[in-house]
Amino acid sequence: MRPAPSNRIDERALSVWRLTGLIISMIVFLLSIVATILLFSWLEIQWLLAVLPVVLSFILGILLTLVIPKVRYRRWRYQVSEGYVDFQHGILIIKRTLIPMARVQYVDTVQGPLLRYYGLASITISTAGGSHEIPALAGEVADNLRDHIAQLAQVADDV
Amino acid sequence: MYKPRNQHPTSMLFYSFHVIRFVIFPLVLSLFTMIKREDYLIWVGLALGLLLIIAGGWGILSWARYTYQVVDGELRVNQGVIIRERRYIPQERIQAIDITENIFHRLLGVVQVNVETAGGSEPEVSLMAVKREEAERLRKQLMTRTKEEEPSQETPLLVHRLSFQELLLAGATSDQIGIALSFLGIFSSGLDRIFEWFNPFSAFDIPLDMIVDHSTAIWFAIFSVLFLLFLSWIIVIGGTVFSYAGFTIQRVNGELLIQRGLLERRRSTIPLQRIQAIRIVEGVLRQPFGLVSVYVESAGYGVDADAESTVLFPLLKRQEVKPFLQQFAPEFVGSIELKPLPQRARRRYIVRSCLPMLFPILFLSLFFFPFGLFSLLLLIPSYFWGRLKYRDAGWSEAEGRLLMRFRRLGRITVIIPRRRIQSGTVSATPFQRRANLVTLGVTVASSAIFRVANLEATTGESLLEWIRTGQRPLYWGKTKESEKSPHT
Repeated sequence: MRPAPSNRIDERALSVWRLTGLIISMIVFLLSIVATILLFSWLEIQWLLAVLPVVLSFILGILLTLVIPKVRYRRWRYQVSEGYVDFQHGILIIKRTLIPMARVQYVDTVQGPLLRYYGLASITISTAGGSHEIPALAGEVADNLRDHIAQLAQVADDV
Repeated sequence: MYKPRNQHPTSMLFYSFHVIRFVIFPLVLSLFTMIKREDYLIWVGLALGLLLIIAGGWGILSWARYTYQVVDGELRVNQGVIIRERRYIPQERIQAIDITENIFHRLLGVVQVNVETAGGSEPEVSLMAVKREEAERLRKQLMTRTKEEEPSQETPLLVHRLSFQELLLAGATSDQIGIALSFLGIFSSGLDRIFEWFNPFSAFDIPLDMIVDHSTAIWFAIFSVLFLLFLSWIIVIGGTVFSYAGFTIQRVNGELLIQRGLLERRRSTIPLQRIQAIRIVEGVLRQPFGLVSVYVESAGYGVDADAESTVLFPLLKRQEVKPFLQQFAPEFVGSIELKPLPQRARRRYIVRSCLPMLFPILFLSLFFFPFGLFSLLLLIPSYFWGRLKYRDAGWSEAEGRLLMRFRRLGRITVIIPRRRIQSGTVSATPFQRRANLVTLGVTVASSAIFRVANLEATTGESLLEWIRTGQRPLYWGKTKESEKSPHT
């Protein structure tokens, strides 16, 4: 079996994902507190049942901020070589994808506000059949990789 | 010849009609709210008059603004009443050209032309109405390049027609009967209410129970179910006749010309080298009779395109597929022998098929306690469905083509040339990982993704290897011989 692709994404991806997870789970947590208050005082449901949303959203928060980013980061690998782009990712379901260079239509780098704050960027590789993303690379690495892929794709097209 | 041209003047009517269709519903609704006023008719007249003026004006302007021409191997279109737009489409980017005519086009003696490129699901250029000869001229002009790419290869004209018997058979065995049935089911449950509300016997003051005894009621129920089944069958056959009547496929040099339709006639042109993959579908009602339909994956029609537009031929006998492909898509001819999945995969298929049933079973058993347990019987058909899915699934690689077979409702066999593969993916859930199995997914330029679940993990790896290099790894299809891989 071919070994897993060699390159990891930037370690700061962890912070970005944790932060995103934290923001999402804060919102969900606030909503669940409101829900619990409503359930308890308005519908007069037993408090053991009424706190269920809070408990669930707390578990979700732990998953989103602590567990998932770590697993996701550990799983993410990519490798770009002359003939193809190869990457592997996934949390429960591990996916390994291969894109022949000759099929690459264009490459983008994308930077959201969070990514920009950490000096990161993600790369989107588009084929005629759909697009694929390599998230959270250091800005410079992403720029170089984008140009590199574009160049290789062009060479592959000429053949 | 190269001057910008306008469409046929009748296209104004089509543009106007679009406007009317757009506003007619809210307009009628708002007029209804005023129905009590005395000057109601004046308002209606005013609204209709205004609508006609606006729609008419829009139609005329749209027609006047819309010009098209073919220059330097490009289709150039200028259009737009409020937002002006120029669109240039290089000839070699055109994936397909469709010529369609609905009933209005036929009354006016014109056709609609749709030009499809690889992006998006909407046609990139749509000429509302042009003369038939003009459409043909445009089609020839935009498709000429195929001759250059296939020089001196004068293929004889190949034609295949769908006979009337085959047309009826296609309708009679269509999977769509399920859809028709569910629609009728919803509709008839509505009828039930009406019957309750308007009981014809109530005029005589006799309650229904007096007239209808128990056994008649049961017979009536059976009869009405059969009647619904029959009715939806007729509807599906009718629908098939409408869309596939006169189905003809021709191969002229490098392109396929497909014609079909009763009231709305459609002519599509698909260059052979634009075909990404071929899909052979054996529907549940067709497979027992050895019948199949053949579809094409072309970059012009996105995934959202209606299934009809990608039909290469609606009904063939299984043994006719090979000669048919030989004539119309020779790139895709080859052995259709498939390698089966490993024995361990069978369990995964059965579990996958039974798992979704647990939910309704749990629900029914809890809420209708003793009798609800009968829902456990649902597991029996799911078990056999899973086995069937396992038996049908398979893959193979031969002469630079990948074959994948899997079952959704019908059994689907896909033929993909290696050079058409946009990306390949193997994925594994934790359960699959434990059994050392993977799911293979392959995308082509129509944005379609084809998946076969539960291949041997090493098979998945070697197929990725094959997609990358075109080489057959030594350990093809076998287990646990990963060391022999030539590329690691």
